[in-house]
Amino acid sequence: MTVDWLALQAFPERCIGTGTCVELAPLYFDQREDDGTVVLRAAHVKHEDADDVERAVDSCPVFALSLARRDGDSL
Amino acid sequence: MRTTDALPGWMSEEPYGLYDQLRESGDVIWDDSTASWLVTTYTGCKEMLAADDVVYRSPEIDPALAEMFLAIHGGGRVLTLLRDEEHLRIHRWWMQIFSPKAILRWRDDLLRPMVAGRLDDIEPRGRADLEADLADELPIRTIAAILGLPWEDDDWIGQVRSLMAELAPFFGQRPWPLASAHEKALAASMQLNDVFLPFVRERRLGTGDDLISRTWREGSDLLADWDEMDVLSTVRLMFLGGTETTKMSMVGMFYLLMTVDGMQDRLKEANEAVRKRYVEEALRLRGPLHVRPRFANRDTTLCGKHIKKDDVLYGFLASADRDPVSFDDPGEIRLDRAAPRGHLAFSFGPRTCVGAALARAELLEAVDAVVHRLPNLRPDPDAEQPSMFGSTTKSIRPLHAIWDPR
Repeated sequence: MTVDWLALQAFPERCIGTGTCVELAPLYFDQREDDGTVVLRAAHVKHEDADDVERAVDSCPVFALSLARRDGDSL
Repeated sequence: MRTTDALPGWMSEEPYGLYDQLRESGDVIWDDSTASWLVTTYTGCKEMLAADDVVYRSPEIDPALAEMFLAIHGGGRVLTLLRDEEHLRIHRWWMQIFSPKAILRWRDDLLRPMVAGRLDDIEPRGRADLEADLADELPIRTIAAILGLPWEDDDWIGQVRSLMAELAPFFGQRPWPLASAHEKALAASMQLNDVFLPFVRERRLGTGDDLISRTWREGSDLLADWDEMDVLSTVRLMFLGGTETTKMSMVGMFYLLMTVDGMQDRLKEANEAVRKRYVEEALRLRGPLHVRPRFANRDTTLCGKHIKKDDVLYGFLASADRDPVSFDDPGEIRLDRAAPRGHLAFSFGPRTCVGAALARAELLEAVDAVVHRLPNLRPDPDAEQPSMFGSTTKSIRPLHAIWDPR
């Protein structure tokens, strides 16, 4: 069966540690203790969480996050 | 290139109508009077700020004036004047200090009681200037408190406030402060250093829970040869960045609360998530950061316009935040926007405001208390009405209000 899903990716080298993503979607993002940069807690986004995660991705001021739709049966 | 002595006069005091006209002319338009590019739309401003430190740079200090500029900032190394790797490292450190997670404890332990205390004082009066009596009191005391300074001492706070007011003309005329502001700012800066330096020296061991101690403790891991001037300048920047613009944002937020029909009742009945959305809309509509100057590092293209190396660009953030292409009903408070934080009130990109989460928390606590404790808040018809002031940073004053008894 083909399943559509959303793939979340982080680019910590770009991250400046605003913590906005953690505030908007804490199930998916955390911050490293030492420098505050982003850590993903999950790479696959559930459809019911997609709005929150998309908002977090869009709010990142340095484009350190991406969310892409994937088609296939990977799930 | 000095283009901006004309800027304060060129911008009208209440500029929103001008911004509407500018956007009609295009995303990025050439302005002969200032020999610069005006970036008027949300798309243009966001693209420019996102490329900060790579394609664009903030204005550089004239080498002949560098020593004086540094002295006016406190004399040590400060975030705003650093570049590249050093800037990134210090910016991340500031972000950790003021991360949304980190400020949660300040909300409960400091901000809420502080707001309640101020309202205990003004609520029985039935009228107040919310700019002077409330907004001007909260951010400066918040910064003092988290630095472990005597925030409850009215005389001490008054002295700091008054010296910072003398600095305001220098920092309010970016990118090139008028020469007439230099001498006064330098004198005020020296006096502010005298006020803060005893506290900085007293915390040298870095063992306390306050931010001055933390700055001592962690600074040497951030920059080589970290010394008391660096700590002092960090303290100075926390006051500079954490007081005036937050105060102005708060004034704008109160102004909308007083003047938008039904908003206070709506917020009173609403939960915190809705009040957070109100704070974002107030920032979008009345954020004080109107213009951000930038220089091009190289030839580039912005919204289809060819920008040459070293061209000057002014990002009109307050215009971008009312751009109808990016915001439906841009002049209205909409508490259901898909991306409520999408505005540029805290700028954007690698130099985005490090104190955004703290400012948001202060605004949220303030609006939460005011909607409940000052019923039927409205402009005082018998007092002076507010008017806008400022140039690249703008706000209104005074903000005389009356309310009904609870």
